[in-house]
Amino acid sequence: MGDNVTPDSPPRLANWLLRCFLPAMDREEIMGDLAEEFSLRTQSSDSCWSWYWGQTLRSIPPIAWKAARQGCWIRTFSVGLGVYIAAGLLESAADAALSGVVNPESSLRPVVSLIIGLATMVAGGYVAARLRPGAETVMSVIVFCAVTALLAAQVGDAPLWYGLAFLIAGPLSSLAGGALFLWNKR
Amino acid sequence: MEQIILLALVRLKSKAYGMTVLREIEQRTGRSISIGAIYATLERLETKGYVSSFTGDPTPARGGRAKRFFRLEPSGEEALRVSHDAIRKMMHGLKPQWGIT
Repeated sequence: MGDNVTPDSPPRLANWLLRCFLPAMDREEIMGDLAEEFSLRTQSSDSCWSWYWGQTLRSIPPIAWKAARQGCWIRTFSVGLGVYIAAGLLESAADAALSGVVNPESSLRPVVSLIIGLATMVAGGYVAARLRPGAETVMSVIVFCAVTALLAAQVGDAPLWYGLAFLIAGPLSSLAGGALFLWNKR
Repeated sequence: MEQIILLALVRLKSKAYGMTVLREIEQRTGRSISIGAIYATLERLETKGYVSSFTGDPTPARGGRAKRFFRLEPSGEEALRVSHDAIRKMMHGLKPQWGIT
């Protein structure tokens, strides 16, 4: 809705940020107001993109703060955390099942394990976005923090490349799951 | 900020929604303000019962999204009067110093 790509369309990345960070109750009217003013500004000035970005970046903090005070972010955080834990359990179960199929000493093992891990993150992001808009972003932040902590503590016997790959691709997979849900919804 | 937004609603009457409130304030005060700050304040005023809101029809210019109109309630008018009166009383006697005519 409202995201047809024409030269006069608002920046997609800015719209994506608004969708991620604005609570559902404010999202439509704020994005509608910005789209309306953007289309007016495209006819009169060439600074509409910088105006749109300025409004996006300055609008997120007060609305997010208001939502946090109303408890919206506590619920979003809870959903993100809950789905992350569920995805982690699913990944562990799949990993345990894999032990019977692929030799733990095999060089193929971390690759298959990484694929399973990223697939569960995509599925987790999809479910999180379905349960609550913005929860997939929270989940991606949790994934990033958890992997960073595990890398720093050097927990487990997985190779370093595995940890680094998961550090980058893990949060992106969660966001991709959320984007997939939005795309499906449209 | 609350007072400025209430005054913008008085001026805009039935045409008050997020972007018209923003334009009104920017044009009159010269202050650059974000639409997020406008909505955060309007919703705070709505919680206090000073304003009410209703949803308009979606329009193509807004990407098919509806406007949310805001209306000043009698309690909001009263709050504005009280606040204006308080400022007027506090300003009393400061005219020469502040150059107020």
